[in-house]
Amino acid sequence: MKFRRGERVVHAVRDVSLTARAGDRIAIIGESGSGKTMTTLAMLGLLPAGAEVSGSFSLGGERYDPLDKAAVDRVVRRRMAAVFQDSLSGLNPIKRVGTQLEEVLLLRGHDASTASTKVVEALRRVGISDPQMRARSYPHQLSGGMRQRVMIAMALLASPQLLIADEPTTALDALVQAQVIDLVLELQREIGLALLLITHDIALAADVCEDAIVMYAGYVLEQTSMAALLERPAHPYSAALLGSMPRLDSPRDVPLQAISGEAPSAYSTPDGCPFAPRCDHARDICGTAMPPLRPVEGGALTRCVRIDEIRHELAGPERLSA
Amino acid sequence: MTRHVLEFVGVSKVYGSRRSGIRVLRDLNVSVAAGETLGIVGESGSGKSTLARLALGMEQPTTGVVRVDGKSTGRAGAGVGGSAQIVFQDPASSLNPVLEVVTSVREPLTVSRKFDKAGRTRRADTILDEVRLNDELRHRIPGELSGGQKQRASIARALAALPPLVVCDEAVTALDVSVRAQVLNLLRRVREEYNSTLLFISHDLSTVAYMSDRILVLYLGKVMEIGTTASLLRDPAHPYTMTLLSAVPRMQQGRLRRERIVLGGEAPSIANPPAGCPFSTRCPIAQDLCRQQEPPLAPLANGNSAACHFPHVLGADGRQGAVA
Repeated sequence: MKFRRGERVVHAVRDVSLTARAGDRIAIIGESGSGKTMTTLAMLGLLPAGAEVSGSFSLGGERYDPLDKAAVDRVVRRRMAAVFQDSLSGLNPIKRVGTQLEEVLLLRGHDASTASTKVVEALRRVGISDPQMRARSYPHQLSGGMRQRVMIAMALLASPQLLIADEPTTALDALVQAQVIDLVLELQREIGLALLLITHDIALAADVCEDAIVMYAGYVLEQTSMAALLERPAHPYSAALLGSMPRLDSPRDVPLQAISGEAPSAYSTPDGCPFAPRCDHARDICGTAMPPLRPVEGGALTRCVRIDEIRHELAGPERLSA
Repeated sequence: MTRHVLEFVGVSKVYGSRRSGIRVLRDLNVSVAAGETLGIVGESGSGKSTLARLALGMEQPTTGVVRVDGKSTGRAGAGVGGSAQIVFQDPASSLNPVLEVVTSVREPLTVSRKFDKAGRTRRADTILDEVRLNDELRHRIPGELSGGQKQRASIARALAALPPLVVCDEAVTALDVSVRAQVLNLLRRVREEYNSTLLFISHDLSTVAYMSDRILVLYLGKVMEIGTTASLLRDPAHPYTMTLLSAVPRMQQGRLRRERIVLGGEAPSIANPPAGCPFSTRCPIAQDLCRQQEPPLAPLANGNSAACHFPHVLGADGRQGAVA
């Protein structure tokens, strides 16, 4: 997926493949500029103007072109829902919350007479007390946690097969974050939908998901089960991310394993691995070409060309604390 | 004797009228020793930003005294440019967008009057070396730096005049995960180098725990628990501290299996705090006593202090022990 900015071309996402089955919980882990959000916007058919996409998308067995608005309306709107970090941007500030939730149902051809009852029921389901009263509120009259619950209620009314949660709790306080994540998980299990959690927070991803996709500079660097990622990461970037986060049991007299430098600009197109300039394990070979994703022992897919030589040096937190 | 760089003595802060205004901070008594880092945790509305503004002298307490380096922040001229410095979440907010960063770093040196002109130049160069901003980078304007570089520049500016106290308010929250560790390590290094005293405020308990010698837990403007980091993490006494701890993702699998304390409802508004203990409306072990009488902050056997009628009763897994 790429954009043109004048003369320059931005490759936002390159060669991502993922499959989510009903009941799956998959995390896409990455920092800003990694391409994690662009990947999900593409799936949702919400790409900014000027985007070019190659590859294929299908949902519930039906293929669609994310740039074809009619196709997106037909396929995506009925089967996919999304919750974003900024709940205010997902809600119309001058319409009552209940009215906005009813619209979701009306767009799907539900009967107008039962819509308001269903909305109140959905608000109750996501743990909003006094749902009749809250349905008459405007978005600004609700707290951040409550607005995020409204967004989840809205997602549920769409009865999706796939729920995309893009940094759903980043703006929330710790305890509200825990409540919202619990709610998403509870509903995910109850309805059996597939969950795609997009986050920079590897600890949260570990807590919630069973599979992980680690992205950097538009590339998938590692695609693996969460258990394998924590026990035995298969890319130096994954291992470095795991080591750079303070944990409650981090020894306080030891510096964190910082990753030197900063992520590359979206305009740069290095020949080799984009993480090589910051990688402690990089050799000349890393600068020559970006290797394809390939399977390694334990079932992980990795793009690290040197993984067989260095894997024994990479340790995840499960092993560090064991 | 321990020298206290920051002292809050009987501090309350009320916005609005004394009688009917909003009491955002109540009865705060805490001292921070030279070279110590005190971590502050609490949710939005807990009063942690007000605490920071009081320490910086940007606000005056409604009752009580705030002293930095022995001097009350209420004195004329105190608190401005001299005593405490701050590192904000948004590094751009403490750097002038049209000045080279080296100029912004020299500014507090001019105000502090501790250095002559040559000394100011030398000092600015030293601290910029410390934060590893090379000759080329320090002559750029903030817009030409990355987020991590800007935050390093604002740390240099905060530390330039050797302030007795540095307040870090969500200082790494806005940075990319891979850059956070660099900045945290930098803060630890310069803290050691200058024996700096830090107030480290963050909503992220793991980061606060990693950075702090002691932790103060705030809820609705009141101290719930305060103690050394190791014992507070190992042996939390207040149900609110335990709830916060149990909500931290552990970088391991198994949220669905893990026993956690789940609170119902939302935090009450600071404008309308409940009677008795402020946490009583959400506390899993609240008794009638808790709803009637506010518990004082009292010392515990482990050396920490907690404001709870029933400390250590709630188990870390959320199960309730016997109420004594």
